[in-house]
Amino acid sequence: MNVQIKSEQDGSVGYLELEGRLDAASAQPVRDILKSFAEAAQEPRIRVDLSKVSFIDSTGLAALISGLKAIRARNGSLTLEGVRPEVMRVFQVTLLDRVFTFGPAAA
Amino acid sequence: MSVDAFVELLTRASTWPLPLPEGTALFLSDSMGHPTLALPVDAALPPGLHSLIEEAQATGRIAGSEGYPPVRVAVVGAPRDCTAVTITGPLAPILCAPVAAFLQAIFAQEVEMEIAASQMQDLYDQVTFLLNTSASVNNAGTVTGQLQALLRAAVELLEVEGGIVLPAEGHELVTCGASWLGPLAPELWQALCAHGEVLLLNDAAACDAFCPGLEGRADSLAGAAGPVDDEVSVGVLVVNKRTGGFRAADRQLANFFAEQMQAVARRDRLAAARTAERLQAHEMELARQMYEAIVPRALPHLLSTDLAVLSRPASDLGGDFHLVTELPDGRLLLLVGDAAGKGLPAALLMSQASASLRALASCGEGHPARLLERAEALLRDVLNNTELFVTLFVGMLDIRTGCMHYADAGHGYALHRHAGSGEVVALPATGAPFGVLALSGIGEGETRLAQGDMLVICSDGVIELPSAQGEQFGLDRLRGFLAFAEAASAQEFVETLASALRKYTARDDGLSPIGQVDDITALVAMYRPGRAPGHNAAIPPACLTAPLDTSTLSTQECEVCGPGAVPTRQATRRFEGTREQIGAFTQWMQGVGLAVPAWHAGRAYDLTLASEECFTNVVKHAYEDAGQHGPIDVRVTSQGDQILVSLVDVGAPLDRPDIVAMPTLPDPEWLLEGGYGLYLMQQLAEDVSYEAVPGGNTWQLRFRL
Repeated sequence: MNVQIKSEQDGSVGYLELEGRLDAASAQPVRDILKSFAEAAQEPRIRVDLSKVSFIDSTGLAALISGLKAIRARNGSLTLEGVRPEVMRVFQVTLLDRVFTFGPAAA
Repeated sequence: MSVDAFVELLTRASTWPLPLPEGTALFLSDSMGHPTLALPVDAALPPGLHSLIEEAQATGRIAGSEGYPPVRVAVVGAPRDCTAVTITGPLAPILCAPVAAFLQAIFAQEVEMEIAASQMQDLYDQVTFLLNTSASVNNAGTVTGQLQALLRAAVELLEVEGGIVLPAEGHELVTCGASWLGPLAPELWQALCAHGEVLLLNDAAACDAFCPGLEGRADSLAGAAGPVDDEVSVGVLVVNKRTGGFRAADRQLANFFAEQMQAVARRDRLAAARTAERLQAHEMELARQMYEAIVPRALPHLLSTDLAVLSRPASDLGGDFHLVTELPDGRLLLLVGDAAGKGLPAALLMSQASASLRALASCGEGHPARLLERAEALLRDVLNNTELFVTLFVGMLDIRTGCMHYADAGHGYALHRHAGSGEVVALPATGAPFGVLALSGIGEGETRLAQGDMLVICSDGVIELPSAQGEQFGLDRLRGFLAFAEAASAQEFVETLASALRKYTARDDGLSPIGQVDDITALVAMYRPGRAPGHNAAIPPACLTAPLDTSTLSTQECEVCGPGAVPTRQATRRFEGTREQIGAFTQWMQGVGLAVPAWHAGRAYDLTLASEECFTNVVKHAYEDAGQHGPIDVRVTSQGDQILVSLVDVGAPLDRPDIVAMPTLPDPEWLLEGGYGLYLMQQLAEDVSYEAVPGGNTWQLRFRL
């Protein structure tokens, strides 16, 4: 597996920390976790720490989009934290940087 | 009291010999840097003082000598001109306050001279006394002697029966005039530390309450401990003031003496640590010289095989070693080893291993596997008694035929770059490392080098080199880099590799990279038999002008080098068309991108991302969705100012090949989960083309250099 996942959930607040590459080999578990976070509570507030993710491709994007949709359907929010400058490229080129909410890396 | 007398006073107090320049005024500031007064002085600066002043100007202050806090003295040349010098010596800090008051009194002398006269005299006497003490402290030599001198001064100045330096450990018991305090030292110290600030007690009951052990023998007591310091903490305690009780002013004096005693103790501790350091540094230097003698720096100079090495130990001594030497039968021996760990133990193990291998090889052991087995037997005792282990690669290259036999004990980082195809093959290990398990025999492998081929044998320090974000360089990235890097000689490749590693470990914020964790070694051998002097066999210039057949990318004949020489560089590799291989492909492409010196990280990232999207596409559509399996052959070529990436598979064709040329970005607001892959490829590459061929497909991405 190209990615390591750490997750915590407390009521409607969820935190996901990823490390490695988010691509076709590793996207599915991320997709599943985001979905389960979204379904666990009303108005889920989810943070995903991407500061240790060195690479995201379109499949990884798709996983994040599916998570975003599921979370929005419950009136929740999803914040992507600490996205590295080179990784931002994939959001910028696809114009998805207008759709996601970004935040700085957790201290 | 005249100005001259003051200047004389200051002269004795400082380490610098006056006089001062004409028109100079003297400022004094306290240890907090607050200027307290100014005084005009006439004189000329001695030459040695200039550098001191320059340094002070540059740094804003000069550090005091060890253990003694600095005091700033500003020497003013013209009204706006400030320089700073320092007074050093154990009593320097105390000089500011009384001398400042003293000088202030002088300045005010027109108005308040009579009133200040007696105060000035007292102050002058006190400072003189302190200066004399300073001399005796400096002269005392041992820590105990210095503490004794300070305690004597304290007892005299404070006008008490006697006192003690606390705690009484780390040096001999120091008392003056009240040796009965000695046995109470631990109790007194504990109580003093618990009290926390400067202590003044003026009746017997209070003293007994402070420390019951006193039993009425003290009717007044003053004590202070030096500033809180992790390493050293010293304090002073005096008893039985002769006349009257302790005054508020005595508080400062007690505090002052405590600080000075602590400074003495700290200075002593520092000196001891420095001696130990010097000794250790000396031993390390000797060991380093031995290491230099053991690890051969010079590589043989051969026409047929160009040799170079990148060797960077993590510290002065390393566990990596390498050796290239001619064997008795004329073959070339290539050896790279890695003794686990770094520093002295690894270096010692390495020297053992290296010596054994050299001896066995020069005695005619001609089979690499046998060589390693015999060396392992020699090293077994050493390895059994420690927890260290060694990995080794040994190759024996027949220069006439290009055939290399090799054995690899747990190393596994020997790479063979084929100049013709641009493929990089990782030669598999043929046995376990020494010292890990009981050895069950080491196998042997073989490979054949052709004209222009390159062998790169690394240690794991290269593979495991972390980026600033903690990602390892990795074997795949190294293979991609090696496949695509341009190098006309082994040395050039070493330099290209070194700069790629530097690029890889660079930090975003421009700070220097984190210190190297493991030894780095890369031994490079470029094979070019029959090479005419002055002619570059790797990239013959004549061939660059020949037209390239892009559809087949066949090798070109070069009338200078003969068949098999490749005009422009290319890298090829076959991957399995599975999701699990996507990561390896990504890293490989990142290595390829790293080999384009003109590209910064962003451009290389575009190449990697677009290619990876293409690869993923092939995995999903040509294989997975169609229920098929197969390889993906990747070829990267540079042509003029362009880079071409082609992916060839043997899977199912695209349903709708026409979409490849069409714009495809879905509206981001729709939050579609698919369709971005192709769009990314189109955006990041100059050109994307797809062709279904019989039995498979070919994708091609073109990037501008």
